[in-house]
Amino acid sequence: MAATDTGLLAVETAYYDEHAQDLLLTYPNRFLLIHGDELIGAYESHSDAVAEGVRRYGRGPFLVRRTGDEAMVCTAPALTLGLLQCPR
Amino acid sequence: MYRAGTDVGVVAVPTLNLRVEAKDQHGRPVPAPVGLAQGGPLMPVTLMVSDAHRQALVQQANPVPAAVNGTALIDTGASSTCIDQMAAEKAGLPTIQKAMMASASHAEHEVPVYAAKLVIPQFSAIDVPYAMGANLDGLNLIALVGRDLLQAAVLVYNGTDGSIALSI
Repeated sequence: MAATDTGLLAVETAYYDEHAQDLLLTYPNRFLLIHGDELIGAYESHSDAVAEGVRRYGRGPFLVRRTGDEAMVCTAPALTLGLLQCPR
Repeated sequence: MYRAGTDVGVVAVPTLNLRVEAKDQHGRPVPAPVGLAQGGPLMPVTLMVSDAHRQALVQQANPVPAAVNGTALIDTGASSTCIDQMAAEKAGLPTIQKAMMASASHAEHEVPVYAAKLVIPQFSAIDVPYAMGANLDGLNLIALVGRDLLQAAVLVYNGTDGSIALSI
């Protein structure tokens, strides 16, 4: 796999994207813990995956993602448009 | 369908009632409705690692980071709860994903995603499995409480009284 990206969790995300279909079939509705290009485990709950990640890698970064979930997108117009900076 | 007089079950839900007590730049009290209109629905919160995180640290005899106290703005425009990155660093939150922060007028940019726990007065701790990292520096805020948390809440914004009531 290509591991040349240097962004945050780039290797982990690339691994997930590359194996998404297989992971979904093998671990449906499980929370995956991925570090580097290695699948560390598949857990029943988000908290179990985070706990194992913390045990192994401290504050990380490490990737916790439920199989089948889309990439996360957040919208916060007040933040992104700088409206919170307006005099209050 | 309920009719007047119908006996329906009532569940007691903890409610946070906050009335704004603001002052202007000269230290003079500002009427609560004006304070709420200017400052928005603010509330005190405490930011800390999740229970699972804490347990993992304790099992390994590692120190548990101190919680961070601050102010949160309830932001119904935010799809997800956002945490100030400096506060996340202080609270020792783990980075567990990345997300795209989208905007209609600005380029998307990547932000870290943290696993966190928020404590709001009068409520038990609330897990925030995916809290977006944000730069709230200079705003005197450590969090924006977004619709991911509000989907399990009742929020009453009483502009005429200058108060809010939140039940989760």
